[in-house]
Amino acid sequence: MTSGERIWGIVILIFGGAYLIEGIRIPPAAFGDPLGARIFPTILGTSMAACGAFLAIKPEPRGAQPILVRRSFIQVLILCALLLLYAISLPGLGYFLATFLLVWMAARIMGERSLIRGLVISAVFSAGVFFLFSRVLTIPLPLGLLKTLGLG
Amino acid sequence: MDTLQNLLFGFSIALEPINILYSFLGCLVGTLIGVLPGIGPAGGMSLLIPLIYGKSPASAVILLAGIYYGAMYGGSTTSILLNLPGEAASVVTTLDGYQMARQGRAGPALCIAAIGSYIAGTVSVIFLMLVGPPLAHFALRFGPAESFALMVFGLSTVSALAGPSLIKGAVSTIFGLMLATIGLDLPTGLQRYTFGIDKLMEGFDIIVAAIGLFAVSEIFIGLEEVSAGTLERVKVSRIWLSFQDFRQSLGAIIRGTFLGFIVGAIPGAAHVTASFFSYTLEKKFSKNPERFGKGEIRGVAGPESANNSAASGALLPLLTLGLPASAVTAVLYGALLMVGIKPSPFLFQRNPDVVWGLVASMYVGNIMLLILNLPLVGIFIRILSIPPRWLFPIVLAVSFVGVYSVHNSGLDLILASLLGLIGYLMRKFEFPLAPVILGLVLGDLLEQSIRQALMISGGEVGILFQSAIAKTLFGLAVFVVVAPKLMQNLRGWRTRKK
Repeated sequence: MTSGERIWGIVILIFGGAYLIEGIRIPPAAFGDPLGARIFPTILGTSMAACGAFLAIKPEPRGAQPILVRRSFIQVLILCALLLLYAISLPGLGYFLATFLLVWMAARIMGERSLIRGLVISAVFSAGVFFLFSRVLTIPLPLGLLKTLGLG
Repeated sequence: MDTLQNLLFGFSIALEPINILYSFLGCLVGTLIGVLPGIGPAGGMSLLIPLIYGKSPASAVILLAGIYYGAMYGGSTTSILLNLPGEAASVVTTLDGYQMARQGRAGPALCIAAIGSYIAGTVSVIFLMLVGPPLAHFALRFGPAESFALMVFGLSTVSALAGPSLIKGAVSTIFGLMLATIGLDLPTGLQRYTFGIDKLMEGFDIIVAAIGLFAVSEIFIGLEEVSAGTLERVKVSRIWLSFQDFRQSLGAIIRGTFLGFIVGAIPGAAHVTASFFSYTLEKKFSKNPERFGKGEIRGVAGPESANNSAASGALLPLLTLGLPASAVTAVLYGALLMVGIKPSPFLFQRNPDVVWGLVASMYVGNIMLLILNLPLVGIFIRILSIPPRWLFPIVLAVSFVGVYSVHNSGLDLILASLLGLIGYLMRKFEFPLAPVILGLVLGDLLEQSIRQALMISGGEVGILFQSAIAKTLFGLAVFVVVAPKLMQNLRGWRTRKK
């Protein structure tokens, strides 16, 4: 199976090319700094594109690793979307609520059946981490909704 | 005999009850910081700087140094158990440590990490005393050109040896270097690859990348295995290290200690490079290099020792020359200023209590860490008996709080999630992950060192190849890339001849 490898070669080629184009737009070297801010990225972009071209023309032999399975890849994408949602909603919801929801939903995806057990573990865990980081280690975590409700 | 007398003087300071307490406190907090992802040693130390107000300089340094090597110790725990590197240097530990844990050998992995760190810590303190000053002067000969050569050597070694394919290793390394170019270019003040996002100006944080690529992608793989029903529950075969394991690892520990100390003393190279070097060295000279990456105990013992030994090595430029050569020693430098001491080449003469107290406290601290960590091994490996449907979400949440705490920004969480996806795909298609981290760590230094070198020479490229050190390193860099291919061809040629 080398077709997947070829596709990756092309993806890398395009990525390297895009990086290179963005790199060329950096203003050229100034006086006293022969390389400037532009040359290094240009070299990187070129070598990345070259590696991509190489992989596209002459794909590497595949090892034993199984390739992507559609069903599980979709699940991975769902979890990734959940993480992105967490990142976006964290300031608004606050650390405790957002983490509670993330842990609970992630556990559901991973196969936790019991509703009550799921809710309890998620709540205890999120509260524990919040306490450890924000109170013991004094790292500020967003309070979010809890603050709006006057519970913080 | 001078050294011995000085050391005794140091012990008289380090063994004062109050200083033992500070050392213990430092080790404890450091271990906690190391175990938690995100807050690296430098971050943890700066968080606790307020604690040292009004303390004697020796006590302050002892407390902060305890946090430093405590964090180096603790960093290995989550790497081994959860594939979650708490700080950049323990990325290497995940490679074989996590595989050992999956085979039910988490106990021996944790033990050898603790013992290796202990041996490296103790031996490197002896180095620090004996060869400190001459080595510091050698390290000073590393100008921009030599540093550049060293980093080129490091990157080419890792690209060539990280995975089965050289070209894929190169792609990973270049990707890491590309991530490093994101942000403000300091010499010119230009923004590169920030796409108008202000928060990207500070650059791409290593912790964010390490957690995204390693921990998050591991959870994606885990999810896939859970849903396919192929995830095997880890059966813990044994908790303690067998004598055979120890004997196998001893060579790796000793090599790692030497290597780590020297690399740690070179300004800018940092302990991340040390652990990578140690890993590739062990793999290169092992009789069964194919076992690396599949739970080889030497792959844990060597880098973990190198990592800790580099921590002592990094103190060298600070103590002997008054130069902070890494982020952690820069925090120590600041702390020394705060308690009224100006680090300088005369620190040994002017403040012997601080220097020798620190050196002696490192002996005390290393023993303390061993006592603190070995009994915890039994407790830590119980983490693995948590069912995966809870373990994975919990690891996710803990990693994300670590990522968030780096800059208090949701953007880092987004980057970590996306890198998790990229890491997942990279694993699926056999692109090695470790070179990305090394590329990211060294990218900035690499670019700045070559630019500085060319600024000094006025654009003359020849400056890069002037010194013997640089020439040797470049030669080695070419050798590691070409050698495996050459050997292969040679072998093929021989068999054909027959």
